[in-house]
Amino acid sequence: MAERKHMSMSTKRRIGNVASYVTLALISIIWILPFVFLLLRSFDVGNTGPSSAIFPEKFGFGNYIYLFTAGADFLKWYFNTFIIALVVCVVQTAMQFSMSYVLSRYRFKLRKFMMNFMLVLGMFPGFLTMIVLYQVLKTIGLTGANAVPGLILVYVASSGMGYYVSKGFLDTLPKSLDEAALVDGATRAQIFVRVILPLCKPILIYTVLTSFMGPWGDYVFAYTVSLGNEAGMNVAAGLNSWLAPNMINDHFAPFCAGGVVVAIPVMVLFLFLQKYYVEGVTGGAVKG
Amino acid sequence: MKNYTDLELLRLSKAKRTGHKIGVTFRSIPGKFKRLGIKIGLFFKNLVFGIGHWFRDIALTFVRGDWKTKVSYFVMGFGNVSRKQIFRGILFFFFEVIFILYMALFGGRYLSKLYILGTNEKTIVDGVELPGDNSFNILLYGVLTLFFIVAFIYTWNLNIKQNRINEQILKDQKQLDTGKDDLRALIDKNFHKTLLALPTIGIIIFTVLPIFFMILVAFTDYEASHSTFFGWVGFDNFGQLFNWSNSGGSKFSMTFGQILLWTLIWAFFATFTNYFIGMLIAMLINKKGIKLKKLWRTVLVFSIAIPQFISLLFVSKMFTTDGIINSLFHTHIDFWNNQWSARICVIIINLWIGVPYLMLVVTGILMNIPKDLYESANIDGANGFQQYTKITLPYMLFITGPYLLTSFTGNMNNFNVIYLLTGGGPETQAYYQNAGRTDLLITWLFKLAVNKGEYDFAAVVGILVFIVVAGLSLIIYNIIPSTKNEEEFQ
Amino acid sequence: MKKYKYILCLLPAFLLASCNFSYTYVIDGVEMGEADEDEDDFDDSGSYKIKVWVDQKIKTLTESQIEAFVTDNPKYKITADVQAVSEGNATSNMLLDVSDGADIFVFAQDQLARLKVAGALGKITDKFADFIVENNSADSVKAASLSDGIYAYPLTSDNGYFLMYDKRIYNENEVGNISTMLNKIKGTNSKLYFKAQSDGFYTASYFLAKEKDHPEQDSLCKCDWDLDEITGQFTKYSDTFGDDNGLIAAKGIKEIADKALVASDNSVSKFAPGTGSASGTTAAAVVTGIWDYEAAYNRLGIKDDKGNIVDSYLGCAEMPCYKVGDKEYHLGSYDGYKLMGVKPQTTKKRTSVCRKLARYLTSESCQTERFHEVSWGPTNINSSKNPSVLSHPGLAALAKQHEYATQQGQCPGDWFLSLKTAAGSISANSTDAQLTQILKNYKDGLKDLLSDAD
Repeated sequence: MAERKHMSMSTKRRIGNVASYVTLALISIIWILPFVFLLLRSFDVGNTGPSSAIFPEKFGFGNYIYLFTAGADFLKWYFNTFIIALVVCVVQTAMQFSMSYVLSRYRFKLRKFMMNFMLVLGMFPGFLTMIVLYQVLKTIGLTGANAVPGLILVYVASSGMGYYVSKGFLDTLPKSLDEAALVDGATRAQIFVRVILPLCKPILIYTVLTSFMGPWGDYVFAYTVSLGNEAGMNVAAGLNSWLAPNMINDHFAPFCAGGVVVAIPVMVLFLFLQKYYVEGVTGGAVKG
Repeated sequence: MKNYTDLELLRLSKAKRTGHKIGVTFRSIPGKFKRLGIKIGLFFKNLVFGIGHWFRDIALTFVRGDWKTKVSYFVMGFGNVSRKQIFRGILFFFFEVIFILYMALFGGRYLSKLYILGTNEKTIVDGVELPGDNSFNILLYGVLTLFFIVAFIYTWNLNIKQNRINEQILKDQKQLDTGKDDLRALIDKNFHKTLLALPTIGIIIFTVLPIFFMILVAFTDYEASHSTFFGWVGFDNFGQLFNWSNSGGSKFSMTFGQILLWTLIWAFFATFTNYFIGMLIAMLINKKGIKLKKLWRTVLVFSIAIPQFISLLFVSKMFTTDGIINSLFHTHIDFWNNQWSARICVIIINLWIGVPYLMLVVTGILMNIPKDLYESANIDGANGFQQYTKITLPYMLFITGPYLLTSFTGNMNNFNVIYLLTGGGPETQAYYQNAGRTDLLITWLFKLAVNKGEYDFAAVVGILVFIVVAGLSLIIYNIIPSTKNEEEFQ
Repeated sequence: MKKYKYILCLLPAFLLASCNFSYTYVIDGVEMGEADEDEDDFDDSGSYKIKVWVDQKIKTLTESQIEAFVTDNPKYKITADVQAVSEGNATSNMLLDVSDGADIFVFAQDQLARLKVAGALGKITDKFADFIVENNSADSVKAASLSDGIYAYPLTSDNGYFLMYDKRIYNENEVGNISTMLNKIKGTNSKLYFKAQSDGFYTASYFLAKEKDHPEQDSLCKCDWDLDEITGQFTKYSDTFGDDNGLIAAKGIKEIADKALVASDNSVSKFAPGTGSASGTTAAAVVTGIWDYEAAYNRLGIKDDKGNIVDSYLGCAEMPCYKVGDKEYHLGSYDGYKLMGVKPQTTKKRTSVCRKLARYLTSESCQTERFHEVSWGPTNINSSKNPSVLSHPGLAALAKQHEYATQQGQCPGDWFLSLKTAAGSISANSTDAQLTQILKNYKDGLKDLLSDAD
């Protein structure tokens, strides 16, 4: 009797597992299909416009070659975006983390006010300010062909507002750490650099990762700031110009190829640093 | 409703107990609103009193201070320098000089025009542009100047406060901080100020100032067709939108209401479908006995790693009448041209974007649920579903409550998914100027501003969006029980 | 004590100061030329940096044309910054920021008034205006004019649409009628690609239709907008799209609401390849403009063994007819022109040079060159008479369609959206009552498009 029950339990479990595997496989297929389609489209050299066919008419690397030859501005856009992402991820992490650190570790008069104020600011729809920011950037000469430093400035300037996640993490570090170091005669700056920073590796990596990914996807603002100047565009703005009615008929497949090339570094980074990303989003969600 | 004691409550049947709890929650809402009102009232009271106190302090300091302090009212930093705080004194003085120069050379000019935003329009004579007043610049630099004046008053006040404090310190026969002390404090006692300096300046210049500017724009007639010459119109824009003066207004307010409704519905579904499906998938992957956990997770995470402007644009093309989906199934469904199919599609495709994110979040939290809870449930003979409803779900909801709220407001402003998939369409005749059935307030605002150049109306809608989002958050944050205490972990 | 606060206050001060220096520089940088307009007396030689926005397709061509201009006029040292900006984006960029926009740019004619009001165009006078009138077709000059004068240089005459079809599916006689066309592709994998239900510019073709073989008659419907050319506000409209004749058009649209036969798109890449085979949905015919001609020709190209295109299955025809009741109506279209604009400059010298450059770029030689390079139809009278222009199948189809076309006036951009919305809500089994209601809603919505009464 006991034997049979055990059997049935394990059979049940096995059936359950098979069902789970089937579900997971199905979900994975749904999730991955668009990428497969995108990838297939990017290899189509027979029809480089939009097509309803799933498989390429003619398989080849022509679209990728097109991206990397002098004819297309893709390399420039890619380089621009890469520079932006690189600078932004360093500066933004520094600024965001400084803000989080102060808000988490210090208690000063304006602290509550600052936190509430930033919360309220975050509720304004960002697009509204686009026109003003454009004009501000223009006055300091950072639009058009010089859009890259301008975009960096804008992405970076308000990074303090995104302090929540890191602050949540810092809140979990015991205050006794700081106090012990203070007793040992360390300055505040020394505590920050020597005690706190090393402990924050996961959240720092998370911040770097998210701030590195951000600039790759921004289209609306990047396009506005470049004001149609290819030299100042990022990949999103540039690739989108290939979808204009008079371009799309022979540029859709290169667009897909560009998409794949853009996705690769982000994806590779993501796969390597997934662990930290999970930690970050979890922490962020828990601390809200 | 009857009030029960704890003991009585325990004796009730389960259904009644739950009913009672819900009742209590709802009954407490008016009280919470009241408290919220009081809070806001107190804030303004403190504000008014604070200003009053400030004036009194300033006056008292002048009357009671010595001559050095009195001079400092006009020559900033004089008190510091004369009391041998050269470094600080010079900084104060330098700031004052810059301020005066700025006001004399530029600021004053803009400030004086701010009230009318320019009087002579630029003209074009035979292809040559004769410059006139640029209202945009007047407004922008006027606002900058106002910010600068506030900063100056703040510094001036600081300067006076320092005099007061220094006098006190000297009276107590103590030492004043030297410049060296000041610098030292920057990496020690005042280290937080060093750290905050750059982020705060960034936020003020690139967020606060532009927002302030755009709020002002709602009270002008700034539009693309006369972008350098416009003026104040007071509340006219608000009036036009809400039928105080204009016949088209009612349709506008109807459209606003409809779009707001859809925005809320969308935010609700986008948040909760993601939440539950993400949780289910995470649990599936974390189930005991499932292998290749990392692979499953990685596959899903693909959709986070690819920039949305590529993946979403591509997916939106997949769903056209001659797109891959219709080709695959030999159908001819016009997904994007029917309001219901379009709305359902955006919610479903949003799953594809949002679920992996939730899956990661939930995975992390699931691992933190104390294992003994499940063990004792097992002993009690609870089945999987019961364990889910009794342990997993309540725990998750408790932990992620605040997150759900932020993602709700985040979804209300989820520009990318809507704009890249449908562009707001399908457009309808029922809406003002053919706004679309899947338009969110944020995409509508974007279209108003960028496609039509109606910056003034966009600013009005922006303010309304802010009021809606802020109001919702304010109410929700104050009414639901706070699950997190900041100091809890430290 | 509060060190960081000093810094906090100082930094914006420097920023402010620097902002203002550059701002004043712009204001004070204006110098006024004294000399009169006459080219010979007026010394405008010198070096200039000129920003030009043209379509990606003619970017390199424009660069070489500007070089040629400098070679002909060595007294100018022109550093041209030619950027690829599509016509639509050029307009929106100019509207966002005239001062940072291009000195010379290309745009679609229906944006003329908006651009003028926004200060992106100045009136063209004297010999430049004379040049435009003398050298370009009367319709194109009209397209470049507002009530008080000419504001831009006509560049192309081909911004309208016609029918491109796959000769393997249709012969010349079958493309005259939509019903015939649709019947032929019933049950196949091919569709008619026509944006009549997803883009008002194409929807209009149903309403602008004329009775078959009666090009001299008026179009079924008309919608004219009154523009206040000072404020750029649309003040009035007279519309018959929403009236009885509009119902004829709406009934016509029902036929193409069958998504199994018609796709709301205009990509010529959906044609099945001339050599080789395609899977998925393909296009039997596409309603689009000359800008897609080359891509369509190549797509349907018949390749020899070496992969060179020797011929093509591409057929071009005027728009087909649709039948409502017992009458046949020939689909109309808009005659569209692309124009080249010169932004008002800060100095008289710059204005003079930019105008001369724009005049050159829209002259006979440049238009002909552009035709050969990208097959854009010329507005220049001589260049349109060029034999290769006349024999171009696409331009020939467009020329035939011209009889049934309507000159596009100024209208609010959202009017097309209204048309599209109306057409988009028509389905294959809409009743007459429903159609009437749709038209009524359309007509009611028009007043929203009038500029908000200030």
